[in-house]
Amino acid sequence: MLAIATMPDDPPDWPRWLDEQLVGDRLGDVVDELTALGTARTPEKSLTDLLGSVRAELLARGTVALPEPVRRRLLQSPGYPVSYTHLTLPTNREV
Amino acid sequence: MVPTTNLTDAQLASMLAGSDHGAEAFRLLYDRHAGALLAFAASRFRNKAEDLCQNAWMEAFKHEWEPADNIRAWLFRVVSNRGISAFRKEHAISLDGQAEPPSPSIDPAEVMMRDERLDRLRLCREKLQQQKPEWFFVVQAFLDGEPPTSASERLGISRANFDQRKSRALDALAKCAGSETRGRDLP
Repeated sequence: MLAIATMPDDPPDWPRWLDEQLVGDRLGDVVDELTALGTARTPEKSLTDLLGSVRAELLARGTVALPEPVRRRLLQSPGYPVSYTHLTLPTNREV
Repeated sequence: MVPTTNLTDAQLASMLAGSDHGAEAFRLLYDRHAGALLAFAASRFRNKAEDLCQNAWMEAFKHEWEPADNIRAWLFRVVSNRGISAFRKEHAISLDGQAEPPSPSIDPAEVMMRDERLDRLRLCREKLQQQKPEWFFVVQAFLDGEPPTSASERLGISRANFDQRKSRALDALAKCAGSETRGRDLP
């Protein structure tokens, strides 16, 4: 089964799924599958620039805090989810 | 038998050792597989690719081939195994004379497996586009994060139909990508 096949049908459920993938052990598969099967656009800017002022809220509440276009960019540019794991590392270490 | 392009790999391989036509059989096999082998080696072992391929071809020329042997698979396996060995030797760190194993985070075998899975997924995506375009566009919308309601409207299908196509397409891609035979059609 493909890792992306576990993505729910309904958009309101997507943030929870995305949060699980970002910290899950199949993130590599998700990124590979989005890269090979999706539209896979090259990120136009860094994740920090993409997130802008919602970065703190994202780290506190997860991807539900993201505006829909920004959340979509995470799927369209599979490099972003990998950057996201780097972004969250300091927080994890503090915990 | 004189080597010609019509002969199979196994027939040509059987002429390599101890045959008057060994050199010609070798040239035909080389023309057939050298490009793909070098591309494979270059994608995984970069600056060692040419040496690895050259050594594999030299061994192939001397090898005693059996009719059931698959020379192409053999060449790829030799390049892969030798490349991994070379990588491990280079990345072993000597401390007090003790060789350390390479970091598990850069296990070349795992990298190769991922590369191969990516290649298979890309091939399956192409097949889906060619054989089931109506499924392909649904998957693209889904992976693009387009809300299903607007995507189904744009594609002129019902939401239920959208979900059904998506589900079937992802199943087909999973089966295709899991297939050992790269040329396999979508189920």
